[in-house]
Amino acid sequence: MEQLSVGEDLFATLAVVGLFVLFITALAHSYQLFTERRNAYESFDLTLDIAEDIKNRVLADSPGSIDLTTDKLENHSKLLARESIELRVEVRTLGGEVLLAHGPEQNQLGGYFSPPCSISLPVAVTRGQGSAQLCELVVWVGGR
Amino acid sequence: MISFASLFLVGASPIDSKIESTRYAASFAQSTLLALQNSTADEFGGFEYQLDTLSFEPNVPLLKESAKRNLRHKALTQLLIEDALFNLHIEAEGVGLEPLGPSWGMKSELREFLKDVLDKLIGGRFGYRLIVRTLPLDLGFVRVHFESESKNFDEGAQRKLCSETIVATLPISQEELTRRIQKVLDTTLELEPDIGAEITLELWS
Repeated sequence: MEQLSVGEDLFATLAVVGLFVLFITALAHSYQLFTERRNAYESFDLTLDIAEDIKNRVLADSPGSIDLTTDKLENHSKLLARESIELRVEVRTLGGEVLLAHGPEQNQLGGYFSPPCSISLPVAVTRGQGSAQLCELVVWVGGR
Repeated sequence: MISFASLFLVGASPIDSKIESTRYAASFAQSTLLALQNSTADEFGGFEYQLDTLSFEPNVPLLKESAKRNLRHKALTQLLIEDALFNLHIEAEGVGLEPLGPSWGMKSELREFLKDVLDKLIGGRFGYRLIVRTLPLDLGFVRVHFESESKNFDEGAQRKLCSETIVATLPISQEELTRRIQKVLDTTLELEPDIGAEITLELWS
């Protein structure tokens, strides 16, 4: 009777420890999913903020159109680099021709924990004499 | 307790994904409307249409060419506003009257042209509906208004993500517009100053 009681206790202890380990693993996995999702949203939010800033302020020529000068973009990239944010900006025509490319290639954007996030917005690029060309502004952000 | 915590964490989301997609869609729609204000029809091969001045089909090429109106230099939103101006709909006591000018032909051709442009700009990312309407002018027994829409929805499009609007004034003097409406109605009118037209872009997922 004594031996049987010890066996039962041991089994009960192992069962409790096993369940506890299982629950802790589930909790850790849930937390990982939670942080991945939060990081994805934060990167998307940040990329959208940066893309809007580039369109409306950094490259802005007149409301709704941008100018393809890289000086301001260069300075903006340096400011972001101080916050460990790497940036790539491309302006493409609707036919796919790249009119402006600035920053490291997207596959070189440092992303130790998550891949770079990208946003594209339609823009009109000033061509002089009052005309503008409809293009797409693509912004990649990584390395946070 | 740990199970509940896990379930809570899996279910919990720091930001609602709908808010994020709505924010992107709103930014995309604003950018699209601004881009349409700055880009000319020339970008997309130009836009021209045949003036509806003759009630018969002329076989003389010179006549056909002279009735063509080429608007390749106009911004896309200018075309939309002109379309609204030339195709204002007049209703007297509920009965629709003839359009104001010979540019009736602009309506259908502009729809096709605009659909091409919007498909290139937006197509694939979102479903869209572009609505152009004038703020209705109610003069008692007469109602003057315009409304048109271009859309490209998937059958599965369920949720309106955003709706962005720009407002413009019709490029015509109050006197000229009053004169045109009076010509159709054959009576004198007092119009409000400046008829506004709204261009609304809705994006759907």
